[in-house]
Amino acid sequence: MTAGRYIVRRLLLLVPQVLGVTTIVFFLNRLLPGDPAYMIAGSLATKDVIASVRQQLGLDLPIWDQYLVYLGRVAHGDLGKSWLTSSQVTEDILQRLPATLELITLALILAFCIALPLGMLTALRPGTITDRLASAYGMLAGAMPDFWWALFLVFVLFGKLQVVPAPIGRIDLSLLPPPQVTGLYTVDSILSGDWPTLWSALAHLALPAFTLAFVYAGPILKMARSTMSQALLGNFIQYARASGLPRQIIARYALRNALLPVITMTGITYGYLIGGAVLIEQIFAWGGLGQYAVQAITSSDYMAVSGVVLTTTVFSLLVYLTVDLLFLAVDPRIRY
Amino acid sequence: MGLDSRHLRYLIKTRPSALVGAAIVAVALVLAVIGPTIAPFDPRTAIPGDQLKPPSFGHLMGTDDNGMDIFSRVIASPQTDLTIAILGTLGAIAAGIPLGLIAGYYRGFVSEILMRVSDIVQSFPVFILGMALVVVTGQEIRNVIYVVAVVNCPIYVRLVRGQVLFLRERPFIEAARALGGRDRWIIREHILPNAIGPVVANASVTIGWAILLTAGLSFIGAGVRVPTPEWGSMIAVGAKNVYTGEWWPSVFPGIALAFTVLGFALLGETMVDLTDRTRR
Repeated sequence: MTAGRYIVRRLLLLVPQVLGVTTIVFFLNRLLPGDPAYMIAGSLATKDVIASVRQQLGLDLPIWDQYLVYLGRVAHGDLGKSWLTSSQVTEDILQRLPATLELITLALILAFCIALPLGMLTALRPGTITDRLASAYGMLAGAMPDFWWALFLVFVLFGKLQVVPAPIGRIDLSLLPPPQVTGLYTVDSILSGDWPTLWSALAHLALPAFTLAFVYAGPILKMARSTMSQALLGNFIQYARASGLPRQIIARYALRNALLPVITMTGITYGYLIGGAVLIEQIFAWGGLGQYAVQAITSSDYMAVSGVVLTTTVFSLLVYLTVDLLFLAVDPRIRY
Repeated sequence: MGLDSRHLRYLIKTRPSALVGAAIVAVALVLAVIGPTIAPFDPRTAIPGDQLKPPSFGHLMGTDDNGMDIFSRVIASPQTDLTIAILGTLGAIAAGIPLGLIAGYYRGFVSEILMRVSDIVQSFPVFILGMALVVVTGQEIRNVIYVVAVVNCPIYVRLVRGQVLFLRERPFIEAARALGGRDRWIIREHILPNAIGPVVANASVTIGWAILLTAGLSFIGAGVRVPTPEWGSMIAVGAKNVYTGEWWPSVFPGIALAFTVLGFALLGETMVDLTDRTRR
């Protein structure tokens, strides 16, 4: 099969995946306790009002019809109305998504930049002190609750040393957000040339992003080290060594072969972080998707809950898709 | 896999981290049983007038802003966290083994459906799915256990299926079939005993993750609630104090949590290594 046909097939796979996820989310929704019509209409509403709200929401239809209506709405990007913020869930999510994406993307880049070189270095020099320290870190970091680290670092770096800003929001309260283009404060403030805002945004990002990177670099590091040392045992490396090639070139050969599983691991971590950052967002009052999710869940805002679940899952499906396509670019051997 | 004493001594020498893990797990398990009984104060009751006291001889780890003794709550917590994590993992395994056996042994339509459903369940971000499920089913400990089971079940379906696919082409299975053995007998007597090793090994890793998930859910208020002693909710109670400099209500439960998860991870890692066919 040619690469083109593989790409098409892989893209088409997304359709049943998204359909499956949407189906599960719909039925999850129907299990929620409480009558959504009652919640929307309020506790003072009469029976007639509740009945009309039920009709408006389509709750009086048979479940199968409700399912089809729901699928149709989702296909049009309509995730329903949040009864808590009384705006469209799609709008709420789009408004908050950039905050989360900015945080987890920066965290992931940091994690990758810590993990890959460290993994390579330790695989090239096994048994050294660096190697031992790095593998201890890889083990420890994976076991650490990220929310605990965040609190601990807030205590030390904000509470005691005062080197980071207060863990509230994405920029100083005295500043206005930059004019919205991408929704990412760092990018937007560069675009508008607003340097104080850029500085403030970076200062606010530093601690949460570092916390996430510190914890989630662990698994990537472990993967990098093990695949790198496996690659270094390969025949082609023996041959390269026997041919007297310099160390850097041997390392580069090994890296090309070790990179795929590391990319996969990084992709999985990205997909996990969109949900896993919830706790960190909560601690730093980040105002992103994660905080929206917690708010929605604690107030049984069922449209918002299902919207968040759907969005984050589709996001991780897209990440996995990208990883698969990256494979194609990185590894010329892959011919599906 | 036989484990005689010589083998065991060799393991201890070559894998000290597993020993550390096993020791931590042992302490956690003992505390899960006797923790609440040996706690110097009642872990569920506030002491009037003793709010937010720093660590001292009276209160080894201080008190939180409800006036509960933190040391007592920290050592009483394994009963909550470990019960949820272990029962949840057992649930995932109990459902995952039969489904994995079916998916691996009977290839075709059923297997295809099972694997696709596993794919979809696994594509949900674990934490978001966990939060949503706990809220849908109601915030009770029982439901957190179900959630742990549901999010981990696909791992075991996949693991067992992989084992079965590997085993079903072995000569001894063919021999069993040639003897005229029925599918059910072959699966039960020949495949299951050989497929179970990696499942047991992975259980420890899953328990570690499950403890983190439970604590995380409780931290945002979608799991175990005060006054039930639980590390995640204790960290949450102390979070607001951390900003103002009172570190002890959050730091101590976090350390206990991290050590416990680390213990299960270290032990699990070694067990997975030892049962991994590709590495032996």
